[in-house]
Amino acid sequence: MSTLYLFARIAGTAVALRTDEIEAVVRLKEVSPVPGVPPHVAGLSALRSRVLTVVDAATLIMGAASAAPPWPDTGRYAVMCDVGGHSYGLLVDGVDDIAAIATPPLPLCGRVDRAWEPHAQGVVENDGRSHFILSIARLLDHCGSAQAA
Amino acid sequence: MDELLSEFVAETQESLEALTNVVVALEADPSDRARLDQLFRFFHTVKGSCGFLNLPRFERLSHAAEDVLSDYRTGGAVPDPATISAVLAVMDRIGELCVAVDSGDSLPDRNDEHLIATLRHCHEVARATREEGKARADMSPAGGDAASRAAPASRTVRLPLVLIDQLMNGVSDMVLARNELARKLRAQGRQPETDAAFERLSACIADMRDTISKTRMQRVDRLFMAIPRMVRDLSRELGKTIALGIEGGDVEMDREMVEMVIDPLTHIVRNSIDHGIETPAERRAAGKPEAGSLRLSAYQSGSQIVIEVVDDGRGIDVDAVVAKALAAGAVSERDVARLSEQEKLDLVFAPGITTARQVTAVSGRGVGMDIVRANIERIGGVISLTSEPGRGLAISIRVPLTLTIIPGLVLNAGGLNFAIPRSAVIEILHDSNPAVSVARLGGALTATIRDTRYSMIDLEEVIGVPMAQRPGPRSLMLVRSASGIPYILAVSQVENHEELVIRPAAPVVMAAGIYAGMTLPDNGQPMLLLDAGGIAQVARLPLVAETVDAGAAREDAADRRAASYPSLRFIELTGEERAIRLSLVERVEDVPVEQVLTSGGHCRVRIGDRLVPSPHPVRADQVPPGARVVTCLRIRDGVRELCYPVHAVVDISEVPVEMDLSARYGIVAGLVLIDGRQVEVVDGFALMAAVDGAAAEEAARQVRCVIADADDMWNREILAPLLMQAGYDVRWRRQDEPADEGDVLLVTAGEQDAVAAPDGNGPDGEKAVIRLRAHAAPAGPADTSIYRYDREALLGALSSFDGERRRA
Repeated sequence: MSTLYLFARIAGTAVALRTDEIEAVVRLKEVSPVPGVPPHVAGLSALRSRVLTVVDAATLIMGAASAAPPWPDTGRYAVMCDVGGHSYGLLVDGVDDIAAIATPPLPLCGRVDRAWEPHAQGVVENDGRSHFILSIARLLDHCGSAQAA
Repeated sequence: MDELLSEFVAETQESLEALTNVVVALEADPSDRARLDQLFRFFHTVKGSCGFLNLPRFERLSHAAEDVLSDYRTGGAVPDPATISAVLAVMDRIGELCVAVDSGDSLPDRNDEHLIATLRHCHEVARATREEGKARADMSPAGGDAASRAAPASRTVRLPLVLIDQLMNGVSDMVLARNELARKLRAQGRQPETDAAFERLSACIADMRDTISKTRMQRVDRLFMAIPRMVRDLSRELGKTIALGIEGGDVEMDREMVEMVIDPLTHIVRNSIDHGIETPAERRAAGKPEAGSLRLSAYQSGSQIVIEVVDDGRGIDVDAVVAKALAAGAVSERDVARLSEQEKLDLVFAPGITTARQVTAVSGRGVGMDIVRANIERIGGVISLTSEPGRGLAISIRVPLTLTIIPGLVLNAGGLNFAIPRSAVIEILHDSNPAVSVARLGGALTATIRDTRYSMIDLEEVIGVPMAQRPGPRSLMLVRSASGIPYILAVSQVENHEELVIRPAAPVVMAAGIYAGMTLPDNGQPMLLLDAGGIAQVARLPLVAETVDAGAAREDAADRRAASYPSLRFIELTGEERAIRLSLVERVEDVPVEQVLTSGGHCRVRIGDRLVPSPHPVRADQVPPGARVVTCLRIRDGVRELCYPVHAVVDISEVPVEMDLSARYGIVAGLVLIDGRQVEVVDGFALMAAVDGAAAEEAARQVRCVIADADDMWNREILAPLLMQAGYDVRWRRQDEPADEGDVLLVTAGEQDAVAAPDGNGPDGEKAVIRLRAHAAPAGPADTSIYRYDREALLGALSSFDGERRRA
């Protein structure tokens, strides 16, 4: 049985996200900043009548050091998803492809960067390139606990 | 099959909820056949459905209950309290079984037979007793009022809540799209045709939003649903007799709100019965009727629902509360000396002093009131107490109509916009105000307003953003913290007042501890709702009580606001534009034209199954041809209500208290200017007085009529109704009851039990007597009696007593 993945890039790294966790990919023109929260919460953004909590995946994974670039006029891509009854927009560098992959996930090989280690759940190959498999729900869970730490 | 089963469970649970009160009411009036039938039908239905669904335990239980009830139905006998308790137990078990079936658990079986045996036993005993012809004692007439409304009659469909939420979201989307379109249209300049079409679309969307909002509303009935049963169970357990009155069940509030208020309300009612209302013996000793009275009412006041619980028990012992608060260290001796009576009373809400055991032992009141208050305040409500020691306690809860739409203030700090619930803000001042002085000591900010010192914090500092440089004074908001002690939150500017649709924020945002939710205002820019209590905690403000002065500040703030008041502007059927104090308007409702009736010169509007007086009728030429409904303002003065048909409602505006009184006539109190237009202000007093002159008179009557012979047909059927109609309180004389001051005794002359008391209008405490005779002509010159059909003479005599009483 094959799994449908969305292939995207976060902090320059190729990742694969299971599409059943995703509602849509949108281009966000602007966010309203939220002060007093961890740096990976980029702000709030309205999508029609829904309000997305926008989380910068790169900052969440790589840490505050990789400070978010200024918001480009063209907007940034966000993967929209619903976790625990709240709508989130997960900011990514870009989106490459959607494809069904028949082979099961491969185990991680080689020395994985410390930042990626807790998040990468495996590897899938698409178009001859490897992608880390990420679970959005786990990533956002981590977003809460990272703050508690 | 599963679907059938879950539908059966849902329906049974719903009927059970509605029926509990029927059983309690049946107990109060066991001869009520209609309720008995209702109960019987329930068990019959359950038995029928579960036979079909193969649920043997349901079947056995309902069969047993049906059997017993059927015996009462056919036998014409009335059920006794023990049997009704047993029926209630069976109903409870059916409820438990429903929950079990729903969740797929199993419930131990063996008790069923026990329940059924108890039921049969009670029934047998009752039958035996009946056959012995033993008279049974009457039960107190409790809860009748509630149950008569419990029977659901309207046609309904069941909808998943998710669907309604989706609809609501869809409509919000439409509103946002409309706003965007409006901006674009404005940018293009005026295009009359497009604008007209857009206006129409706008109106449709607004209507739709209103309608959808209504689906979230629920009658307060549901809030009161569990009360009669609880009162019954508790009063039996504690050996107290309680007359329960419930009114205002047709007021509507948000479904979620109902859920949030149920617990605090239950707690308050429990307290009232447990600690407030005395035992019958104590009540007798205190000269009160044996049955304690407990009254629950709900009404809408502006955008709030007011729920009142009033008992006539022993009230709160303020000294005991103060002693407890002192012992717990919540206040100091010095503080107490400066507290007003009301503030002392409010100490029952102070956290820490009201753990159940301690306070019950001392004051007998206030169990967990801090928790009740916290729960009410969490939903933006306010709770207040009025205690008359020895005479009773009134608790009033005010909560906003809905949880999701709240009035809020939009403010700006460090270039960002935030919202804060209006209810959290006590007062707003500019830091340039001479009444305010701000001092900085070792980094800590303190603001002194009119001699009261408050902790102060800049919002920018809490949220960690630089302070924006802008001209003009900063705004200081006096806000309530979680502990009720106010502090000052300084922001760059308070921008405006808006109705905000609040939704929960993501956990990662909530974890910051300073936000209560988020909102999407019409401009499409998401905004965060600040949590005043959370900010104080995050900023670690030392919130020490300067209670007295805080109280004074609150009063000052109230004075300040009183220079103007919100009022509702509307267009009369006759075309004038008028305004009425908003707090008088309970709600605005469209009523079908045919429900506005005129009879005997008085106009009334049928609302549900009641007739509500109306100040003026609706003439056919006053409504647009073909219109089927007329807009009505439902007005209430706390006691009476009336229904005021109008052409249309315009807006809500602040109206200055001072007005041009020279324009006064009829129900118009004067003229004010609103946005440069002259608007007539309706005089609430004149309105109420004009509509129900008779009722106003009734309130003034001080004489009570006591009729000597209650068995006489003429007295019962003709005299009593006449007196009641004239507004007198009519009693039947009992031998054992001494006459009160202010009673007038009416006797028919020539009766054998001619009263010993002489004629007279006793200012010396002697009872006043009016004699009536059956013949038109007096029996002799000394005969001072009044011919019984001489209505004028009779009422004249009564009102002369009335007048005397009032002079005395």
